[in-house]
Formats: sequence, C-alpha cells, structure tokens
Amino acid sequence: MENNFFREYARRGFLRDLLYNNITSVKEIWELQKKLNIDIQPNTVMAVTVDNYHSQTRNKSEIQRQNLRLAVLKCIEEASAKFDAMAINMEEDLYAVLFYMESSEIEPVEKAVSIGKYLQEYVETKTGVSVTVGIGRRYKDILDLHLSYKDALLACHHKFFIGKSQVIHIENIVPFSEGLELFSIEVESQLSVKILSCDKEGAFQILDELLEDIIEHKFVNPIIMKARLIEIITTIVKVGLEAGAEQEKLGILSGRFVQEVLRSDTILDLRNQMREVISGVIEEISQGRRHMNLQVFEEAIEYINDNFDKDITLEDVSGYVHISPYHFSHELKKFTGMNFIEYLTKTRIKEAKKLLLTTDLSIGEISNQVGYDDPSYFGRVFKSMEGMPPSKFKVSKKIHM
Amino acid sequence: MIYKSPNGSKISCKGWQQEGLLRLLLNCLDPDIAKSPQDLVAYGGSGKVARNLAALNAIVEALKTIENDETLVIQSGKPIGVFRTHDFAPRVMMAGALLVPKWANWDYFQELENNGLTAYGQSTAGSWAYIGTQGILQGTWETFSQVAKRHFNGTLKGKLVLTSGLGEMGSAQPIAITANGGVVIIADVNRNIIKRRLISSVIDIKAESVEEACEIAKDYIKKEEPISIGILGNAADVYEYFVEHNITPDIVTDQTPAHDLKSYVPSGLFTEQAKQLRKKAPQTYEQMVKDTIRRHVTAMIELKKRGSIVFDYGNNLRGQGYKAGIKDAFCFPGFAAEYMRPLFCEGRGPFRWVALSGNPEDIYKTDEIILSLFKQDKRLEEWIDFVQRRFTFHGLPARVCWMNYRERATFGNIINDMVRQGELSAPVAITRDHMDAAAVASPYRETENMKDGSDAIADWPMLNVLLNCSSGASLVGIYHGGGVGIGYSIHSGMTVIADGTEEAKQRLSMVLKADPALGVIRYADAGYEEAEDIIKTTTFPAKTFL
Repeated sequence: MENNFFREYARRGFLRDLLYNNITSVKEIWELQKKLNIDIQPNTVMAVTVDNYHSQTRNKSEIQRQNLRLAVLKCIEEASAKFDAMAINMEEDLYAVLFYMESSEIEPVEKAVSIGKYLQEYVETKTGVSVTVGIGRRYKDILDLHLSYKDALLACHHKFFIGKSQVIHIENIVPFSEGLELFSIEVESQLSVKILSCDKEGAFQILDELLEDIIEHKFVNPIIMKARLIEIITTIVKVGLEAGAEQEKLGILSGRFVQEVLRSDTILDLRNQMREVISGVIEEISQGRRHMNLQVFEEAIEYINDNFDKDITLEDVSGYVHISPYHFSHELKKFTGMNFIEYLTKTRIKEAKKLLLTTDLSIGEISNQVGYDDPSYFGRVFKSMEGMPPSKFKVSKKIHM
Repeated sequence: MIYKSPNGSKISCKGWQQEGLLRLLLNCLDPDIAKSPQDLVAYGGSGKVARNLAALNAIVEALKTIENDETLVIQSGKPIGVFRTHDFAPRVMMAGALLVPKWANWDYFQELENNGLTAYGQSTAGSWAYIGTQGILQGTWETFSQVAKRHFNGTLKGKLVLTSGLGEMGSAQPIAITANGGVVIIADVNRNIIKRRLISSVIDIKAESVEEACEIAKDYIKKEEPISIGILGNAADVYEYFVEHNITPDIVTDQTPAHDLKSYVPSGLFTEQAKQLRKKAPQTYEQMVKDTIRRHVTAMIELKKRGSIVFDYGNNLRGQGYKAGIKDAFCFPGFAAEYMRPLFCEGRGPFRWVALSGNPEDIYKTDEIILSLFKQDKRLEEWIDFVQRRFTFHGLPARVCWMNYRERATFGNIINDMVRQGELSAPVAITRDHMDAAAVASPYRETENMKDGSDAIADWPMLNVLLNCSSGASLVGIYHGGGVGIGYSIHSGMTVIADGTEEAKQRLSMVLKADPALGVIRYADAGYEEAEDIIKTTTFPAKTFL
C-alpha cells in the first residue's frame, strides 16, 4: 500500500522529468519505466488547459481553486485510462497526457484529435469546466518526447484566436507570424483623441477594428500582440495623466490590467480586458475633470468676492478662469442655483448688510463700496432683497442688538 | 498496407530460422525504420527489400511454409523457387542487382529495373538486415574514434573538427565527434535542417557567423570540453574563411551530397533558391556547382598543407573535384581506406544482432555480456554507454558493435546459450553490414588504393558468400552497387539465427569464424602486415597458403 503511494509520487516525478527533458539516457528511462510499472512507451503528448482559469478563479479561495484543479485532474486521469494514457498536472491550470500512437496509424492526426475530443468532452461534462486540448506530434525517440509537449503547448496557445473549449492539433494550425508591424502609430493617436474627449464608444470602435484586422489578416503571436497592447495601455494611461486623472488610481489600474492582458486566454478575453482599461481611464479622466471644475468655480467665486465693488461682468469672471461665459454661467447655476447677476447681487448685498451693521458709513458710501454707483438704485435692489430699505435695516437690526 | 515485425516467442513459420528471417524482412519496412515502406524502400535512396508487392507477399508466404530442410531462392527481390536441400543449408539464398560487367551502369540498370527485371537492394535492404540509423551512428563514431586513436592519443579532447552537411548521414558527425570529446564546427546551407538538428540536440548551439563559431570553439578547446556548433553557410565559403584567417582545424572532412551534383548547393544560394535555379537554368547551376566544388576541394587541400588531418567521407568529393579540374584532388585519402582498413585487417567489422522478441531487455542483457566479456576494450565500453544513452529502439531492438573474428564467434556462442537457457525471451538474429573485410569490393571506398592494387578484384565477396553458405548461415546473398552505386561495388550479406539449438551453435561457430577470417586472409593476401601477423600469431580458424 505504502509502496504504491510512493510509486505514484515517483511516477509523476518521472513523467514530469520526461516532459521537461531532464533525463539524458534512454536506458535509464527504460529502467525507470520498469521499476514504476509503466508499460506503455509514450511518443505523443497532449496538453490540457483550463480556459480562463485566472479570471474564473480570481475571487475564489485557495481551497476552491484546489478543488477545481483536483476535480479536473481526476477526470483527465479517468479519461486517459480509457486509452492507456498517463496524466499529470504540470501547472495550476495545465495538465499533460502522455500516450502511445502506433507508427502504423494511417491518419494519425485525425486519430489523435478524436482521442483529444473524447478527453475534452469527458472533462467538460463531468466538471462543467471548459478546457482546451493541444496535441503534439508523434516523436519516435523517447528523448524527444519533450518536443511533443512543446508542440502541444504551442497548439494550446492557438485557442487565443480559435476560442476556448477546443481540440487543436499542432499539424492543423497555421504558425503564428512573428510580425511586429502590428498596429500603426495613427491607431494609437486616434485612440488617444477618443479617450481625451471621453468618447468611450468611439474608443471601443477603434479597438474592435484593430482586433478584427488582426484576426482577419495575420495570426500574430499572442505574446507579441499582448506586448503591443500593453504599450497601448501605457500610452492611454499617459493620456489620462495629462488630462488630469489621478496618478495613483491610474497606476493601480494599469498594473492590474497589464497582468490581466498577459493572462488573457482568448482574443475575446483580451478585448474585454482592453475595453475595461479604456473605460477605466475615461472614467478617471472625467472624474478628474469634475474635480477640476470645482476648482475653477472656487477661483471664480474668489474673483467675484475680491472684485464685487468694481463694475464686473460675466465676461470678466469667465475670462479670468478661461472658461466660456456661457459655460461658466451654466456651471454657476448648477452649483449655486443662481445666475451671475443674482450671485453678484447677493454678494454685494451681503457685504452692504455687514457694513450697515458694523460701520457708521452713509448709505451713499456703502452703496459705493459694494459696487453701486447710484445709491437710489442700490436702495431699490436692497429693498427687493431684504424687504426694507437699507436705512430701516440698519435701525431695526441695531435695536435688536 | 503497414508492415511491422511480429514479436514475442510465438512463431508462424515452421522453424525459428524462417521466423527470424521473416521478422527481419518485415522489420526493414517498419514505419519507424524504413525510409519509404509503401514503396518497399528501407533506406539509401531506393534500397528495396523485395522487387514489388507481389514478390513481397510471395516471399512472406514462402517463409511461412518452407520446411526445415528447404531453401527459398530469391533473384533481385523476387522469389523464384523453393528447393529441397538439407537442414544445415541456408533457408534463404539471394542474388541481387548483379549485371555482367560490360553492362554494369546506372542507365542500363534503371532500364532493366523499369522493366521489372531487377531491383536495387542497396546493401542491407536487399539482405533484410537494415536496422535503422544506429548503424550509421556506429560507423561514424568508429571513424572518428579511429582518427582519434591514430593521431591524437585516442581522444578528440581539445581538438577542432571542421565539417559540413547535416543530412541523414551527416548528422551522425556532431554526435560522434562530441562523443569522442571533440569540438566541431559544422556547416549546412539549409536553415530548416539546422533548426531541426538544434531542436533534437544533434548540434549543441547555432552560431550566427563563422567568426562567432570560431570564438565559441576556441573557448571550448581551451576548456577541453566537447561542443558541436552549427552554422548556416556553404562549405566552400566556410572552409575558405579558415584558410583566409589562418585558422587550421585539427581535422577537416565533409558530408555534403557531393556524390549527387543535383543535390549539392553552390555558393551564393540557399536550399530554396538552389531548387529554383536548378529548374530554371540547369546549365548555370551546373557551372556554379563546379566552381564551388573547386573552391571547396582547394580549401581542403590548403588546410591539409597547413597541417590539418583531411579525409573524404565517402561522398566522392575528390572525384568531383578532379572532374572540376583539381589535379591533386586525390592528395587526401578516403575514410575507409585510411581509417577502416586497419580494423578490416584484424577481421573487425560492423557486427550486429537483433532481438527477435522485440524486447529491449534482451539487448540490454547482451550489452551486459559485452561489457563483462570485453572489459579491457575501453572503446567498446564507451560505445555501449553512449548508444544506451542516446538511442531509442525502433521496431526490433538491435545493437551494432565492431568486433573482430574471435569476439564474434565467442559472443555468438554466448547469445545462443542465453537463448537456450531462457535468459533471453526469444531467439536472436546475428548479422552484419556489407561493409566488412571480405564482404565488399568497392574501389572508391573500402578497397580503394589497396597495397597490391587489387582494388577491383571482386572474387572476395563472391567467395565470402559461398563460404558462408557452406558454413551454415541462415541467409546468404550476393549483391551489386550498394553504397557507391551500380558499377562500383560487389558485396555479400549474411545472417544466422541463434535459436538456442545445437544446430544453431554449429552454424554460429562456423559462420562467425569463417566470415571475418576470410577478410583477414583478403588483407594478408594484399600484403597488409597486421593481417599477416594475426594469421601467424593467433589460433587462426583456417589453414592458409600465405
């Protein structure tokens, strides 16, 4: 019993060493196989990857993740046993299946794909987890088995374009082009413009056109494509910073999405991640803008407070804070509920009241000090706001005091 | 139709002699071994195991039905009759691709072959003894080990070999050189081949330029560590670089396809461009090839003058150089005459055995016997260690070892005992390549430049096959044109099945002595003292008249 237990651990170590090309002698391999009761001579490798593992498990506990991994492993082992294959887990979301393909197989690719399909459907039906299977070439020399594993991994990477839940044989894929002429600089600047103007839909459209172009015309190596998209994220973030978004928030945002982009399993996944980055940056920019409006507003108020004794106009104030008179008036109304004249009047009357109560200045002098040239006009305005003329206001308040 | 040898201990023939031969035949067509099994081609361009499909089926059927006192006779891959002979006679007897000398050329042969009258069996394809690439690897390993022995105290440590060609045969070079401790720079014009050889660890590293290759080599020579460095480039250009930069490698050879000028790629072109030009402008192409060959050979001659050990690796490079106008193209030797001949003189040759069980363990057990029986032979030990590490068995597991006449007989007897005692799980077929001392007459390779001028004498392979026949081999055959092509060689094949019986013991004891001993006599007769010494100083198994 205990022997079996240890043998199972040794077996897994042996299989991993085979796939990582850590054993250098054919005879040593043969002897280990004998000791570990492995009676098949694997010459082909399948890689099984859990689709969207990282995004699926992001919010799950480590125990939940472990359960998922073990359930998938168990199913792969069960399915593998049906065609005399051996299964092991290689990484968190990656498993390898080693099996023997007859050299006499007339249609080896079709045969391997049918085995792969069986395995994939078995796992998906039993666990409900979507998996993609990549299949390597048959290598007749056992020392070359690691090459079959590499093939299988490469085949898996092709789900990036084909989509998840696939069985992909290395012989059936068009090799990724290594071209770097991926997206033009113009695309980047077009995207920047859309983001600056907070045009989310427009930015999405540019992104979609870009990705569609890639799918249609060139099978770019996903890693190159991701690297380039990360560059674009950097550009977008820079645009955001220049437009006044908060540095810290953008930092966190870009850090998170660089990771997500790298982990994207399929081009759809990547599209969603890129959309989120764009939305995030646009959101930050407009929040920053709102923040900035308040500042502008405060500056304008301060200007009014300092200058209400002069003959100031709406144009003077909006000019001072570099905003259009219409826009300023609109914003002022939004924040205070008053238009410019109403606000200016309110400010002047407030100051006049203070002067009436605290000084012995004449009504004419006060009128002049709060910006009215004509004291009788001042009197009328005062009365309309306070319900009494300034002289009466002064007497009644003073009595109360 | 897919062919594969049966394995295990159950047989479908009337005896193990027939069963063993049937398994060897089908093993030559195993998809993991054969070059083109659907065309019945085992290897070497067009080396076939039978004339056509009908002939193959008839042979298989005959092997299953012939009695233990009958002999199946095969003419160039076609069965022509089963004769009542006797128990001790061969079960299969062949002659393949033979032509009367006046008509012995490729054109005429091909005409006859197209008319279905003959078949080209190369060497071991025709005699059903092909076992895959282990033979090539061993031959190359043996050559470089001989070079090391002759010139560098038995090791290539700290030595630089310059060579070229990473095709099927050529790719054994870097493996064999590094296994002998040496550093090798090997050029090939095919980018994809270099990539493939790098992936499968045939070469250790790819250099971006000759300069870089030399830098890496220098480093490893200093450390006395082996490394194989591949470079993309034409042999002529690369060899000239060495001449121009005053770098003199210790050893220079090459395995470009110089024997076939249609495959040889001229300087300035890569594989794909060469293919196009060959089609579009064959005359321009031919001229370019000639110019390149001239430069290629001239550079090798210059490196020889400066002190490199230079040899032709059996691809007729010297011959092509001569034709292209290099008068002293033959100033450097061919590998067989230079390095294999001393081995032939002592009756040492490419001996091999095949586990008919299909079980690798049988071969590993015989490896153990070799290691304990010949433990004073360090080279043999190194070879077994090397081949066990690097070589995966395909089809029927087999082993190749160069052994002399005494070792072969002793070892054959032990194998037969092991079969009898059940230590091996089934009988073993004992056979050899045709490139053996008495087995081949080939004036451009094995018998080039013989001391007495007997290069083209073909009596020896003929006598060899007659002698093996009367000594009790299970299969004997005589063939024409293997290795160097029609008109250039006559050679013989033989196989004995060690099935553990007393009869097999007698067959083995006689064949495994007579077969190589005739080779020793052939070289003694030609005036080689090493061979004469062996006859005089050992208990030689034949009376001689020398």
